Amino acid sequence: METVIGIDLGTTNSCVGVVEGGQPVVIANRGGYKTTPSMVAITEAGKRLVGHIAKRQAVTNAEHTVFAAKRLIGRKWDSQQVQNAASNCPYSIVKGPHNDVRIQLRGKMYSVPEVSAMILQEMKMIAEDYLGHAVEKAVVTVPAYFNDGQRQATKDAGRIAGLDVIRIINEPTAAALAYGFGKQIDKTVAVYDLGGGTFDISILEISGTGVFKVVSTAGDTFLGGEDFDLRIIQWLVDSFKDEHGIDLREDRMALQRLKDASEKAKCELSSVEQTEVNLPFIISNARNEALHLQRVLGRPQLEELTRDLVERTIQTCEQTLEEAGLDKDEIEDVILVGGMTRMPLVQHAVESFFEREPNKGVHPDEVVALGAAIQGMALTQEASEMILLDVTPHTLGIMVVGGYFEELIPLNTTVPTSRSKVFTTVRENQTAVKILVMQGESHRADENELLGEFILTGLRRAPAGQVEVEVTFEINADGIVSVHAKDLETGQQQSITVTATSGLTVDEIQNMVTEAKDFAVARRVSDEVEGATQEAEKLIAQIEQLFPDVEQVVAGSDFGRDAIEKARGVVAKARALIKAGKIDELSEQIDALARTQRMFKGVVGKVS
Amino acid sequence: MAPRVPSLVSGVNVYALPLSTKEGFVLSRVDGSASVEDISIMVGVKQDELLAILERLAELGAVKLSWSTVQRSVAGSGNAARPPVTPAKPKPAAVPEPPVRYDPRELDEVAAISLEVKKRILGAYYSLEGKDYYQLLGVARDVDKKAIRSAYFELSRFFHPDSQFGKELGSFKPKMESVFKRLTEAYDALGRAPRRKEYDDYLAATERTSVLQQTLDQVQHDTEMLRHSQAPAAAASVQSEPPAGPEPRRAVMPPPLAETTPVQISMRPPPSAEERKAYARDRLRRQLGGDSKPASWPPTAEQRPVSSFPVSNESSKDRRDSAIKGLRQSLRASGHATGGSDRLLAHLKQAKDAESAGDLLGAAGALQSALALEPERKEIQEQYERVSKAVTRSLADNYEKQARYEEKMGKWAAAALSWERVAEGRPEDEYAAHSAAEALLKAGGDLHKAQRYAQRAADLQPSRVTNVVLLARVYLAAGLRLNARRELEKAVKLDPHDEMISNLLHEAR
Ligand SMILES: Nc1ncnc2c1ncn2[C@@H]1O[C@H](COP(=O)(O)OP(=O)(O)OP(=O)(O)O)[C@@H](O)[C@H]1O
Ligand SMILES: [Mg+2]
Repeated sequence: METVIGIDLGTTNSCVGVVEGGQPVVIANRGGYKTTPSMVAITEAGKRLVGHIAKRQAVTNAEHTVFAAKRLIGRKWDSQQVQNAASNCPYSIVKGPHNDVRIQLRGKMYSVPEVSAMILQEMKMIAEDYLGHAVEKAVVTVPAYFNDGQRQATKDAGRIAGLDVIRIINEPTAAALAYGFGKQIDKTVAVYDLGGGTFDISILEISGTGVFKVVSTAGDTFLGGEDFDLRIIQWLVDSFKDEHGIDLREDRMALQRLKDASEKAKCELSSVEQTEVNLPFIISNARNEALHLQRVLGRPQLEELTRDLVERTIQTCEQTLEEAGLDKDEIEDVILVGGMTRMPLVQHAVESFFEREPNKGVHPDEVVALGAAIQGMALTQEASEMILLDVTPHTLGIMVVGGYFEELIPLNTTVPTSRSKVFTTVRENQTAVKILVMQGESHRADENELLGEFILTGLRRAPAGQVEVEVTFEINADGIVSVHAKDLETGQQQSITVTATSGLTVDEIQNMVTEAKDFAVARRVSDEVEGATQEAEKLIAQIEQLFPDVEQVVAGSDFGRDAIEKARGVVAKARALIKAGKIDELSEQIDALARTQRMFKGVVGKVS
Repeated sequence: MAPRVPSLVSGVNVYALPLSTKEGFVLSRVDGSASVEDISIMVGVKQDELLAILERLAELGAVKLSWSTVQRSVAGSGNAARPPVTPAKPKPAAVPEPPVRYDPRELDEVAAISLEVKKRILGAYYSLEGKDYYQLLGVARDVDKKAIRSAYFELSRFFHPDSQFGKELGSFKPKMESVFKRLTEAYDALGRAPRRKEYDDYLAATERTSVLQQTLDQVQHDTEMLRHSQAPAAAASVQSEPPAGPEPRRAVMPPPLAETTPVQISMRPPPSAEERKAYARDRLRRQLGGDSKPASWPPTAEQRPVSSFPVSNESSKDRRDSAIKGLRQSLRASGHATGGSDRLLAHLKQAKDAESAGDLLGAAGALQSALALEPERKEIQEQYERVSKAVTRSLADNYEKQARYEEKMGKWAAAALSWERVAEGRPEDEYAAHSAAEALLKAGGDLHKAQRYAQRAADLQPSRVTNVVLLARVYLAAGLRLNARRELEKAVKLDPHDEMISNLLHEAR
């Protein structure tokens, strides 16, 4: 029987699972980690790095390391969100030929699905290594609030990665599947999912017999841990500016270091009351003196900085309960998903809103991938009794005269579904109508997402309003939207199936598929051991080259002598590990090497 | 041959019987004195069919027959007016009945599913029509929330296409989807207490109106029949063919609206009145279904399966009770077709009594009977008009409840029908007229009617800008720009700052 893997393609971390012998399990990567950073980098030598290894070298290779690509997938170049991201990103985001987003790495343009495909390919390989055979099919998760374009783009990414994505499901839904799988649960539950890039809330009804029905869902595809990090960065940048009059944002490397440190501080404050952000040699001033950043951040202060973000999520919860027609006390369990739900402020806010303690039984990082694997099994195994009844998260409709948006299928409608409406011509002797298929919640068409368009021609010449056209929207169980328009007089029809909206043409995707395959072959022979060794050796060489300069600069201070002593220790240990071929430990040591190299570069760079 | 006279079995709760309108009508005429021939004249049903109906009524234990019956099929010929579902025996609502209503050849279609699965899909698909939401889910009306949920879940598990994921299903897949959609619609309406209450109220309202409407229709029909039988020639009309049951009343398309200046001639001739009518009917049907497959929504009087009776509401039951009783008495009196002033007086007295007891339908019935005896008497005519107006008015209240629910559910075609009835019942109600026009417009319904109602609303309240704008929108939809412009100019005067009016005006130019 064919294996279907489940992939949680996250903004910050990705995770892969499979159902084995009736039990869903998460598969660890070669480093032993159950989640893999959703990061992709291209090295100077043109080598592609994915996951931990890409994360490790992010600071030294900030311009060619992509993180949080999920925030860009399926979006239009000129959208507000992409413009915001572009100004906050160390890597370069450029406009693609179809008003889509492209990422430029080492002079080559990559579409966002292509970047995501690299991560999916990595997850596929992790699963194949574990299972010992090739895998072709997958269920991939997306935030519930993703629109059709974003879903299509994610599917494209799967195709490029050589995967047949048999179904895209929503992350909170997947979490609920894992939560209810194999248990006799008969409950109405809320899933609160705050990850690195997105927030989702879903209400589901679960029957003890294996039926999962989504009642309503809402969210924000631009609200997640990254935004919490940005608040800390902003605070650090501001206070540094007050003190030294220097804007750290202008320096890409400093920005990447700030980002790392901010996230680290945020995570630490989930378990301790206070932490220190320590970034020596972050930048130099006009007199070429190296400056350090040292700040103490307390939990209350972090909460102050981010309270409004948490409140936004609670408002969304309120909205979705209302949509569901449910009172708070009808929610019988609350499931927390996503790394950000480890933050005490988030936990308290959820608890006080729902007036109940959230469930502690699920693993917030793994539950989504488990659910995806379960759905893969449920779809493909004849014996499976499980069925998932999902909803469409956005309203679908068409543009009508005056630029207004006319709703056909409202949000939170259970799929499959279909709805029809009759429209008329607006001008005299109008022989054609253009149907603009849109998605969104605004009554103004231009504020919604355009999914596709087509023209119905050959209408009878008649006074305005006399020719009637019936428009039917259909969403099938696979979530595919199709629209057809019918001239009610002649019975003539036109239709489209909304597919190619990811900003890529079919040809482009085909090319990418071929390319990705080539790469997969290349990546398989060059082993991770080799990759890590090369990485470590490169870093060691760079550090050694910098030793004399650094010594000269910092020799005077205790701090500097200490740092140099430590650096020598780090290099020596790495050398020993390379010799011994201890790959796992070496991977850890690369972190230390990278930190050292980063610091050295900072010191020398600022001075010379 | 001795006259064949059926009689009622006492102590039978007739409201609990699964009867069609026509069967109920026949039953109301059975009184132990009227013969088959009499009843045939009274209800306008041919004797053959009438006998079949009576036999069925006897089977159900509602009537006794004074003659022995031969075995014959109840669903005999000439039965077109019978509603689609007529189970032979009353059944509890919780048991889904599986009469085969599809062409067995459909089972031959190649699909990767078993014969049993195919049968279940086809069976469900072809019995979607005319079911209320409880029937769709196969639950009784009084079950609790959990039972509704598990019924929906169990059915979904089977009918959701994912249950056959990845298999070649041919035309079975869209059929499964259609069934699943209806199930979901039902669950959406019943799964939450407040929504369920709304639906229950709605259901009760439709049932009340449908009982009232049927009785009213019958009263009117009775009078017609009696008038016929009054005429000397009509004595022989037993053999001639009286209309089979009340005609479904269809609005006749009025002549096209006149534009103040000639309309530009179109390239192709506009469709004929016949074509348009057929089209309008077809569209209405489609819209009632709101689906690719013409399914019925709401369960209207004609489509409502009889099993949804008895009516729970006491007062409407009482009303129906007394209406039928009154009718029965009056008809017994006049059924013998021997005129007489004592009988006339009896009718009039009965009408008066009924009216003062608040039984308007009974009063209307009695007056109709009186009119049948003395069609020329002005004061009876006037009284009848007055009372029947009052009946329509009380019906209108129920229709309004219905209309509001339908509106809320976005069932515009159904809402249009209901609002029209409200507007008919309350000709001076500006809001009803406005709503009727609006609903017609939204449903893409008959624009002539929409124009009439919009015009009425505007006449009733000329200073209300929304009325004027609505009329203009109707004109725009009908492509009558000049008229639209005229109205919009009025509207601008009423409210010079409304952006929408100026937009529309722009469109009209
Ligand atoms: N202990 C912690 N305290 C606070 N935040 C944490 C903690 N651990 C992880 N996070 C944050 O959680 C986020 C990552 O969560 P997760 O891995 O669930 O996201 P994702 O699945 O990649 O993103 P998304 O689901 O939005 O696409 C990061 O912003 C990370 O900083
Ligand atoms: Mg996630």
